[in-house]
Amino acid sequence: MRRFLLGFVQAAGLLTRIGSAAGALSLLLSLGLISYSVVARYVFNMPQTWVDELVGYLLVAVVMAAAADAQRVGEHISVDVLVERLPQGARKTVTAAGLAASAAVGGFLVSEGWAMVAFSRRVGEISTGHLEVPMFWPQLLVPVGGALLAVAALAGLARMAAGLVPFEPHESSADPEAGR
Amino acid sequence: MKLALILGGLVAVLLGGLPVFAALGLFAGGLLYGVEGKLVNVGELIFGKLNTYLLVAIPLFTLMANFMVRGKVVDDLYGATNALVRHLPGGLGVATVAACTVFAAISGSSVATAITVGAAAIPQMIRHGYNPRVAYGVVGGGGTLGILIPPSGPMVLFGIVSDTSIGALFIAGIVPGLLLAAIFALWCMADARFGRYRPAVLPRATVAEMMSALRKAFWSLALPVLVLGGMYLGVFTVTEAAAAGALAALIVAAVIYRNLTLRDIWESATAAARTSAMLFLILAAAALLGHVMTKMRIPAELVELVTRLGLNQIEFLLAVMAVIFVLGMFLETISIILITTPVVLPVLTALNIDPVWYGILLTVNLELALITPPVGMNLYTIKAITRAPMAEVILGVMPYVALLLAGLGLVLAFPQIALWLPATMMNLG
Repeated sequence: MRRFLLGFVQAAGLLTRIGSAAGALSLLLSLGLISYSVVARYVFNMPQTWVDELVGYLLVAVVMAAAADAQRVGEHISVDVLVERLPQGARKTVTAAGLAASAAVGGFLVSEGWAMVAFSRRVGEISTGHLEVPMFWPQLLVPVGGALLAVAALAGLARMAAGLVPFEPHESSADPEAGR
Repeated sequence: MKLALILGGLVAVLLGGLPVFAALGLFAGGLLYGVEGKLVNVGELIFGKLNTYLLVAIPLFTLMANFMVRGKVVDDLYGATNALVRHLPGGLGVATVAACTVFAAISGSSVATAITVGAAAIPQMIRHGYNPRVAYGVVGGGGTLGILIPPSGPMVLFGIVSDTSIGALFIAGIVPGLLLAAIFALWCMADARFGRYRPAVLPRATVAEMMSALRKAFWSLALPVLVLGGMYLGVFTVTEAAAAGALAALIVAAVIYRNLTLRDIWESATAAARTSAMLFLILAAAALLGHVMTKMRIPAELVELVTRLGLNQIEFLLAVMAVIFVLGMFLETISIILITTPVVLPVLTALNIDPVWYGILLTVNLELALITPPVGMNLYTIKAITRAPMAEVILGVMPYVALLLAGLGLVLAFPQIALWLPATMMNLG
């Protein structure tokens, strides 16, 4: 059972790291695009109006792709002033409840996000900006990010069940035993 | 009554220790289900809130600060302010406030300000005979300037949620920010001169030492000028200014200082992406809560209540500031902005209260939230970097709680402190 749990943790870690890389790339791409847009406007007198629309989608990508990684390393803030005063066992229960709640929100994002994507696809919704892309493509980021978040939160529960600390240390190796 | 119940329920849920985005999201989802019996268009609401060009400024400002910290561009900042003012009574405290003020114009985050300046200033102050409590206090208090002096992450959020000009908010934060910095510096001097612990006054730096320190800190001082100057001269929008700042920080740290490797750039980007994800999931959940509260007519009922009670501007603002002060003891700044703004906004319109003025009052109050126990991000930050007992940190920041309350009172009594500069600059424009 423990091997299965650790295998799941390892697979989830890989997925969230891929998400993290996608989030970081989206952010660096936004930086490049906005810089290019400023240079094009001032130096070449060619305003790039499509950049604003694309950068908006990239922000959704940053958030939805990196949310799972923030979950993996325990970076989502919580108010722990009361929890800190609880005995060890009760604190673990609260942590597990927090992970379950994060997984539930991830599931919620999957179901609501998928409903949005399906509707958008059915009616053939096109973006109102200059890119005129089918909206379901950027909207897909919501259910995909929700699924990643849910997987990362479930991996935290799996780590606890395997006797590890719920969150991995920052920039840790792929070793699921890290942060024990 | 409904509002009190919801706020009470929300605080109770948040105090349960769940991640804020999950607690807010599940609470709002549950309320929406209770009100409508179904969840409709929630996906569109979340996607729409996140797909906002203006919001990109926040991860870019975070990225800029990460580049500067990892590239050690800001390490010389404290050295420069130290060389300029160390000969004053409480000189190292004054230097710390000055370094916080400059870093505030780079980072837009109070926690980043407290970490960066605190790591250099606290050991140095303690080494020179300052009471540790005084050192914790000045970094805790000075660090809060990070969100009042532009750029400011919370101001961007407030501007977006309330549809207020972020540029006007940034400009309006300058005078109150500098005023508070001056008040903090005067307090450091008075405390060193008349307080129980009187650290020795350090010798004045020579002109050569000052010039050398300023030369070393040139780029730390130049970047805020590029970002804020570009924005105020109308060269950049807020988002473009954030991108220009991040790009300039990258070039300075990687090319001029040669302290930023490819790995550092990548880690800066992943860290900024994680911080943004954490922040914007709360934003999305709070948007859902705002949507439910609007469905429940809570903002409209608050307007009706204020009209019925015949409250004037100051009475209403005093009541709201008192509520936010109490919320600030338990909640962090982002949740407070996102929960309270949609509720308060219609009343601001009804009472003809300038949203820029309100935004500055809110930000000063959020500075208090950062250092009022039991939940204060700057308190945690100082505890983390010094390993000092929390009680010592809390006692250290108490004078700054009083000074910030005085600052809040000043901006409330004299709105021109916040509104004069934006009005002047717009007239010039």
